Amino acid sequence: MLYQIIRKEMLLNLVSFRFIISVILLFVLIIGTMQIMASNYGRRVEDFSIGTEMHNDDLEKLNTRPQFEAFGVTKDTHPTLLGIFAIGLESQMSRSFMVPGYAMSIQEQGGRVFYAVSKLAGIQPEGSKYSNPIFTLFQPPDFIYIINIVLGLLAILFSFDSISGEKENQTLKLMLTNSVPRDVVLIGKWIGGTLSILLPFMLAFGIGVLGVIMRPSIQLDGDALVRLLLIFALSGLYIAVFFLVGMVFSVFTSRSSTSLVLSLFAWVIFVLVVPNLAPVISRQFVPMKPSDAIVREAERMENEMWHDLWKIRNDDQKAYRRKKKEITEKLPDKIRALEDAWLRRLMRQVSLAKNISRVSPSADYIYATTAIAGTGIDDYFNLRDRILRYRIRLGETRGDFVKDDTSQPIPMLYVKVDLDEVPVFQDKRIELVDSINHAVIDFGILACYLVILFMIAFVKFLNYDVK
Amino acid sequence: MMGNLIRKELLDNLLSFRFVVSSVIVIFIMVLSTGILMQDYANQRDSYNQNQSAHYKHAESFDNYIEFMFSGIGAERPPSELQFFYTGVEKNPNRSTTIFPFFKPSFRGELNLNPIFPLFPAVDLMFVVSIVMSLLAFVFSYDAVCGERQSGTLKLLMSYSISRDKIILSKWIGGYVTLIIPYLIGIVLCILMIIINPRVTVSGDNWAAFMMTVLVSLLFIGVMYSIGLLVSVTSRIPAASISILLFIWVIIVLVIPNSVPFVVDQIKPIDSPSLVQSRIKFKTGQSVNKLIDETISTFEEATGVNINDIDFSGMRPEEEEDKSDSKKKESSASTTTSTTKSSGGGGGSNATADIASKVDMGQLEKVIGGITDNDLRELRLKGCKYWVDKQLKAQVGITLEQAETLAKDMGYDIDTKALLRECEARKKELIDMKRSGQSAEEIASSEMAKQGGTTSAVKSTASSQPAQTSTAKVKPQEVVGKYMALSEEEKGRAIDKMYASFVNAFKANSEVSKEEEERYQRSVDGQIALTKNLSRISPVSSYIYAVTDLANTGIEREKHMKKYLWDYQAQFLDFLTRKFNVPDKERVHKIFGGFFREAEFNLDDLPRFKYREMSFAGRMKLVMVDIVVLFSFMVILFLAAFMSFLRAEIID
Repeated sequence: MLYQIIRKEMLLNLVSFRFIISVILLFVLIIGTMQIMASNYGRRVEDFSIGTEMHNDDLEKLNTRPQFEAFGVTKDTHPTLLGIFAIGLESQMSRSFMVPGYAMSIQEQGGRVFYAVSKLAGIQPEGSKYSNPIFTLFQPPDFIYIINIVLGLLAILFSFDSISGEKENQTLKLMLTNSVPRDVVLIGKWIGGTLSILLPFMLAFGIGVLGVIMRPSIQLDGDALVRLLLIFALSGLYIAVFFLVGMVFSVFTSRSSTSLVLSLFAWVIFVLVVPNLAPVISRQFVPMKPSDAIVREAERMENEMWHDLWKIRNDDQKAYRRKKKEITEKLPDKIRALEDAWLRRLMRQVSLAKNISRVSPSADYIYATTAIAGTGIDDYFNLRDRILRYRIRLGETRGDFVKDDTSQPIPMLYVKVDLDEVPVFQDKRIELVDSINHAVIDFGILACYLVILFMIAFVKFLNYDVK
Repeated sequence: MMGNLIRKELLDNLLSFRFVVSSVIVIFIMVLSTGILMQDYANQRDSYNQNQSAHYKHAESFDNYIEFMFSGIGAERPPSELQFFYTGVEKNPNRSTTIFPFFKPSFRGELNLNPIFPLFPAVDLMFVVSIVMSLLAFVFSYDAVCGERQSGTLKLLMSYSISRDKIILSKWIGGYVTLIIPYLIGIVLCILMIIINPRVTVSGDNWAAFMMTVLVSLLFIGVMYSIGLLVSVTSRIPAASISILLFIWVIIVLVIPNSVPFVVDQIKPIDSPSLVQSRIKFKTGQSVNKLIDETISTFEEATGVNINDIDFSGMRPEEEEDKSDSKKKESSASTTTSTTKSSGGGGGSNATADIASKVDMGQLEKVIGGITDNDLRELRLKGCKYWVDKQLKAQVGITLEQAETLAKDMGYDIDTKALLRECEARKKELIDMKRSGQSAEEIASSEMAKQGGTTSAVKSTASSQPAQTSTAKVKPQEVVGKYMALSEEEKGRAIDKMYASFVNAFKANSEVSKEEEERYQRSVDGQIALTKNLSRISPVSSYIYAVTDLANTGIEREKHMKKYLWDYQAQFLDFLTRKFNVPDKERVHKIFGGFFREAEFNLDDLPRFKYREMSFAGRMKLVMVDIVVLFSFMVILFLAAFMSFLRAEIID
């Protein structure tokens, strides 16, 4: 019986006009955006390789010390392959960053204290590869954007009249006159409806991915394929949840036009309003200064320390040395405390925004998929930490790769950079297992949504007035 | 009669459930988002003021101009007064930058930011209109005509003596008015919120601009409603009409505006900003070399010691002696040669000339001479062999291998390897050219100049030769001692010269970076223009461009702001120049242990960063195109709906 209901649902959908329109939309959007984003990725890779080449070249050619101090070492971050499907924070991550020579000095060699201890200073990100302001104005049209916005909407449009529509047509009454339990009807409708979106979705996804793989510049290895499958599974789960959202409204209303308007309302709130307002709200609860202000404050602290020392320079030598030791030893701790407090605050702001927005399945979906794709919030912070470590490493090894150019009349004014000795910036992404770990909460929430929404629909449908 | 018809439409709509729900949605989102964003804006404004004054406070913590100059002065991106309605580019998380006297600044970015912001789009009035209102316009119009036709009331209506044009016109007016009622209520509430919020003030120009954005929004809603009406007139049943409309909605609202920038980025690519930076770095080399040379010669003149007679080996003993194994020496030697070679300019042009003299130039010119900037991408990615092969095929119709055998058979002297070498050389040349951003003629002329005069690099490497052979060495400390022993007057002259060299170098660097940044800006502008024109097929894009530019949060603001930042940089440079170009007797502040003197450190006349918003008239000029586009859409679509209703079949 269940099978028959599923079959009936699917056939009914299959012959409907909205199904045809949706399938066309699905295919055009999924395949089209995958192609656009894949060629975008190709261009970013090209930018990356040209950039890397140029930046190495720069190091060879910048032979005066002032230039080295000002420009130092520039490295490029490799674009993320799965950004094709979930671009996430790529616009913030895919960029080059520069560590100027002056920020590489370590304290023992008489450099500024705060460059030796700071977690915020000394790294200058250069313009993002997406620096055209027009990219700020619009959301990038990647695969998860299509699923999140368009398929969420389509799922609702398929389900809003699944119960109330049949009631209006009087067919629900007819169906229940047969010896079918109500739970079977509901489960059948849910499975049939979800499948009739999921099947064309799977097909479009398959063709889209094939189109991406066929590009010679793109190679998906085992790891990437597993991640892609996870993104696919999450997308399926997301669609199923939104199908249920429409269904719940359908069960609670007796007219299909009412359930349409209500589910559209829910869609707007869940998909568009909640995730977008959450970070703004969290910013109001946890206000903070920009990191630049902290860096300047740290620099000011150090300036003031030198002033203090300058003032007491004529004191008794012993007292001066003792005081100098006292003051200089305190500074790193003070700077660290300042920055750590700021960083903790940042993390608090981030997690507050994340937790508020998790009310919406759409936000959960985006957090989970971007985490799996390697373009999520944790990946962003991972990249930041890698860059920070790289800066510290540059400071430690500076003496090995930058030498005075002894062929010049004043060697200390010129530098020679030994390219082989420059530390390598490692492209160490978050491992698959850890990515899954980061995504698991959001995955769980989505699954909970599925269960809870189904339970609500189920309980309500058991005493639904079919007349 | 017409009044009656409109009244009927209005009442029909106003009493419907969908009107109640949609009004609640629209007003709720408008008030909620405006409330939240307004607080956010007020906080941002406070933090802008705080940070801006923190920059000056930071500047005051220095005690000399030299250190201050290298630390730079910060500038903050001012929030836009209407950004709580139209967030636009103000979503950009990069809000502060540092101004140096030697570069043109821009808001390049920050490593430490809350990454959730870029992850989601903003919810503001623009969002309410472009997403929610456009959807509602379709929800209200999809059954306006075909619904009545299905239920049979249209037939009934037509049996009265009412002309068709009156019916469709009243349908349009009735539906449109219902649609804009919740929007206008929301707007009134938003205005009230501005008025009662003590933390937010809006200037007269911005009020005018805001009113204009409301008008543009009404126009846009009219466009969307007309689309809905057109589809409703032309479809048989409401179910079909809503499906088609949703299809259209997804395409024009969600897909076109977002995809076009990415598509344009493929067909009209621009250099990545880090490449531009790289070029600037490369080009500043000249002025830095000049600065060093000038400083050295000033010092030489002042102390009377030839720089080559100074023994610097004692300065950093441990570095040189520890690592003097043969491998290191070899590698450093090779680095030196490559550096001298590259700084000699031209990049491999000597090798090119050698090859060119050996092979048949006539044959080569045809293929290799044709390489231009545009081929560079292909050359880079696929290599020379592929490219030469392709060119031969296109021009002569044979592949490289065929050419080789052909040449052997016919006894021609074509060396294909030389062809490839030539290509490689040309490729290298082009890459060098691209990185230095010069055109071919410029390179040629600069090479001519180099052969005539002496560049700093050549001069310094040449003068390094006798340095190694000369025996009479002076210790650097002695030279410093000599300098310190000079009379204040003599020192003053040297310091004068050094300041002049500084200022010249900064100005030269500023010019170079300005040139490069302007070139980059032009390419970005080209991309933006193409994007705008292509995406205007969707009224939503036109709408977004119009309201964001009107509210001063659009793409134009970025450009406008850059101009002010650059002006500020010029003022900062002027300020430092003023401080440097003082009569020597005013330089009383001794720094670096008396080695150097400068004017008393005084930041009273330090210029402040001021940004003035574009005037309302200026903004209107920018958005005129989009308004005209929207208006044409509206007229054409309405006429289309009107015409098709005039000849529509009423009876099924």
